Amino acid sequence: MLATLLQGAASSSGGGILSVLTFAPVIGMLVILFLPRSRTEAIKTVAACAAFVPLALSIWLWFAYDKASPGVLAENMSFVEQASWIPTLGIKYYVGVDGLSVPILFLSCLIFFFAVFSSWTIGKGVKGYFAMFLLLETGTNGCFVALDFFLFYVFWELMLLPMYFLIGIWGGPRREYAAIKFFLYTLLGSVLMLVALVALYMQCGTFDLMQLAAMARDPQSTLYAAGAPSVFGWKFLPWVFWFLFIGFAVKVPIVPLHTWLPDAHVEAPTPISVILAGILLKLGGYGMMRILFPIGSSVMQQPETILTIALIGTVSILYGAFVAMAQTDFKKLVAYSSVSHMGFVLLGFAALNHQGMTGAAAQMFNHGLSSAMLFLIVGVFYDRAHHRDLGRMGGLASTMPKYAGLAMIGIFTSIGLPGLAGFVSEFWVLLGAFSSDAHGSLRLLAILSALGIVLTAGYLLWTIQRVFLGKPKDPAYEQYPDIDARETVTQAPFAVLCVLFGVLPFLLLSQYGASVQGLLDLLGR
Amino acid sequence: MEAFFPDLVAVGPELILCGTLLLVLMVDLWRMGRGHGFVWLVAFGTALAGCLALIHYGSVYNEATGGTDGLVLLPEFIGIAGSYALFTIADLWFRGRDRWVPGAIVMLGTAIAAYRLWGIGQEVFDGTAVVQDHWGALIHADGLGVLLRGLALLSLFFTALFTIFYRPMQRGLASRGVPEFLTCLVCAHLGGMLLVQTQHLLFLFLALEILSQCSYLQAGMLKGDRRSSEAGLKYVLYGSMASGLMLFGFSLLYAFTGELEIPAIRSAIIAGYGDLGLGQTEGLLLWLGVLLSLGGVFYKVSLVPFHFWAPDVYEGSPTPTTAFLAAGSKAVSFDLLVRLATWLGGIGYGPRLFELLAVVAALTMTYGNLAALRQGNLKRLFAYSSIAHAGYVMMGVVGLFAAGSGGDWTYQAAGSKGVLVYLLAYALMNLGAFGVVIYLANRAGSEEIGDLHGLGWKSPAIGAAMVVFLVSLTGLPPTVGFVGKLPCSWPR
Repeated sequence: MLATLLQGAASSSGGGILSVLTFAPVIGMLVILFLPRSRTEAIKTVAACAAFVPLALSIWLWFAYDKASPGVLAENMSFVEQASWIPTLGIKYYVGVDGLSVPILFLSCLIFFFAVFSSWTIGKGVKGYFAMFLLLETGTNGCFVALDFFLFYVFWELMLLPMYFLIGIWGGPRREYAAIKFFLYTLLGSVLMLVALVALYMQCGTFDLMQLAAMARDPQSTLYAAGAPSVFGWKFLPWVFWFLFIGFAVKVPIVPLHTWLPDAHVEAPTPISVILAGILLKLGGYGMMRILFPIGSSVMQQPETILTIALIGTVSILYGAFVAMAQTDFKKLVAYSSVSHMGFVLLGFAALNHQGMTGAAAQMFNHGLSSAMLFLIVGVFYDRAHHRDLGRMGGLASTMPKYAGLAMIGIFTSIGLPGLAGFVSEFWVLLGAFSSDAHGSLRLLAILSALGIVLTAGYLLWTIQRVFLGKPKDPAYEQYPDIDARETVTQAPFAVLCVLFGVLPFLLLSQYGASVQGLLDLLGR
Repeated sequence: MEAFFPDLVAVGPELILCGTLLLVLMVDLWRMGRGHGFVWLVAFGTALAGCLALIHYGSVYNEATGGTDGLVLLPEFIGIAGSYALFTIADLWFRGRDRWVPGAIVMLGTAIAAYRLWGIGQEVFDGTAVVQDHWGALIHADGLGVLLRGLALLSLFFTALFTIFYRPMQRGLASRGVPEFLTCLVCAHLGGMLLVQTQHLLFLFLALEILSQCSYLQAGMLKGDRRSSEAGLKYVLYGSMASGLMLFGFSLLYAFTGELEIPAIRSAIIAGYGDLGLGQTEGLLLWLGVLLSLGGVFYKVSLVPFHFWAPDVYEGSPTPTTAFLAAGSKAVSFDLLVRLATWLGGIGYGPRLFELLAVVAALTMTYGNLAALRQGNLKRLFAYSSIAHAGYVMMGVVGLFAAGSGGDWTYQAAGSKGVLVYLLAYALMNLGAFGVVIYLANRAGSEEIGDLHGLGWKSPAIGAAMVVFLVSLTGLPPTVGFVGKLPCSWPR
């Protein structure tokens, strides 16, 4: 196997950057496994180093990849590495990046690196925790670089287990329930994805996503072959499309399939909530852009598909916002706000134009920043008070001014205040949906979704009021120390980026530009 | 002697195992003292002399006829004579005070047999050895057989290892039974190894019975344990019914085709009954024969609706036996199913029969998994999981049956490859999981899931290993359970 890998490395244009980026954490994990359990400081240091390597590489990638390339298809990918993995089934180790993956890959590495510091206070099972943590990072980064469907699936499933243990062992009081619920929901999605994967292989004879995307472009290809099986009057491709859609939508999550999210978030330890909201949810959206839309482009162009996806998006936005408004648990509120914000991603996809698609991609990035901050904010308070009850909070701005200042940036980004990152992407999505000619009802849905922003502002401003303003509800709050250096370090980078990409949005949007256009070309737009 | 030397070589690993059987006894009797040794020598010497006489007779017969048919049953004779001697003598004298020596002998013998098999396998796979029939047409040494013989040896090695450490076998009445138990274990695997390299119904049935009888005995080997006795009895009762059904099926096939070799039966069906539907009496009976033959194997691999024995037997049997049932026994029985499916599928009524088999596979998966949900005993849980897994493998077999590729089912064919990968994966993860179960049962004195709380904290390494096995059984990448499941669900 090593021989084939080495042989395959010859066909690499990336010099192994992406492999290092993907597997550095897992090497860190192996090192950690050989460290004695008692040496917690050493374990944490190794974890930080192992998470730093991908971060450094991803920053370098941000500048180094070919931004002008339209991405999406094989010839337009950067830093490609290719090697035969399971030759009898044509399965390859095939990785590469384009404008769709580089920003999100950077976000992933960023969140993982700072989540290490957020995990510094983990008390029990430090060794196991960081081993699982790093395995999770490998799975996640692997998903963002994989260009082979089988490889993608393996990485996708690789994330599942560490997450299950991280929630189930290091979580809150109902951790086991939450972990199993998370596992089963995700597995449901994965199984549907697996069915689609096998079906595609049997129809097209390849797992290569780039090849499949190219086939989807060609009306003569086997993807559209007349002999393709049809079940219940549906042709082959719609089945594959909707199976994949549900597979990814569970992760996003869309409204009827979202109930795992609040439970998982509430029970997970802070850094894991951060990763879950910041990165894992984005995998759903990323998977749609990388796999679902290129392969199912003909289905995606159907008006009913567009309407369904847009409706799901709008419903998620409004429903998530209303439910968030009713929460008394700070963390649950943030969790439901994630449902609401991720609805914008779907709405942006449905617009099927440049603004909408770019907005959706940027929304994933920005929501990664803001939700990471929000969960860190909750975590800071929880570490001190050991409760998250909004009704019992209050007056923290006077006792913890630094904390309040950072929190404001996160919360206002989440609201979508102009000048902060969240505004740009939500505006782009709404603009795209409003001006889209993909479906007649998109304009109405855009207006409804804009109401979602009002709702978001409603519950988040109310939250600010309840948490930070007024007099401390509990005399104990006055004794709380303001956030320390470690907590500042974990939050500050996100705050800086929120402001940076809010003031200079083109820094982020220009990363997507060409690749989103490439994707739209595939979709016939 | 030269005439049947190739025949001997072909079953080399089995012969080595037979020798191992005898050695197990010999070494321990050596420690027993002279008085007993004399009686033993008589019994053992008789058995050995019988075998030698048989070899001599066979060679004379072969020289006289110029054929190689004289020694068809030699491995069985050696095996049966050896184990017979082992049973009687072991029960008389063997106090089982030392479980290490017989256990080690079995493991060593397995290793030697595996080394011999490696040689055979290399010849088969690099093509220097032509796939040919030995012992008349009884032994058909092809790649599929070699692989599954290897799997059986793997199973034997680990189950013998488990036996050494399995604590309930060291207590009370059962402690006297370690060598007997090992004898059963070896014999059962021996039967399995013969089973995977034959396409002759008669020989096949004999091999299956060697496998089955020894399994029955093992299941009830925990003397004084009610659940073990119940397991043994239940296994025998269900098993004999299944054997009866299978034999009836074989007799129907023989009645219609006049052939005992599966390939010949295929040709005869194509020639004589190719277009017979179920409407005609003959067609009905013929396909009933096929179904009954399959049904007998369904029982061995615990497919719904032939699964009822599995939970009780898995739970009650000594854990090494449970591991053997899940790993070795199931794998070799599936080989039989693969052979029947590839030869008898795809002809005549076969293509429509495969829908029935598909339903069986689906029912088995669903039932096994649902029933496993509410189990509190780890072994019982694995029993239901093994039922479900039989369904997964059956998916691959259904594909083979639908294709009915005739002779082209060797290890190159994708379908049987899927089944093989799955069987290997399944054997590995089950052996591992049952190893952990034994470790836990020794430590906690319980096999209830509820008593295992906090395993991950108390012994992280074992806990982590168990996680890997269970994840693999779940079928998630990047474990072998996923790699096995994938080709089974698309057998092309």
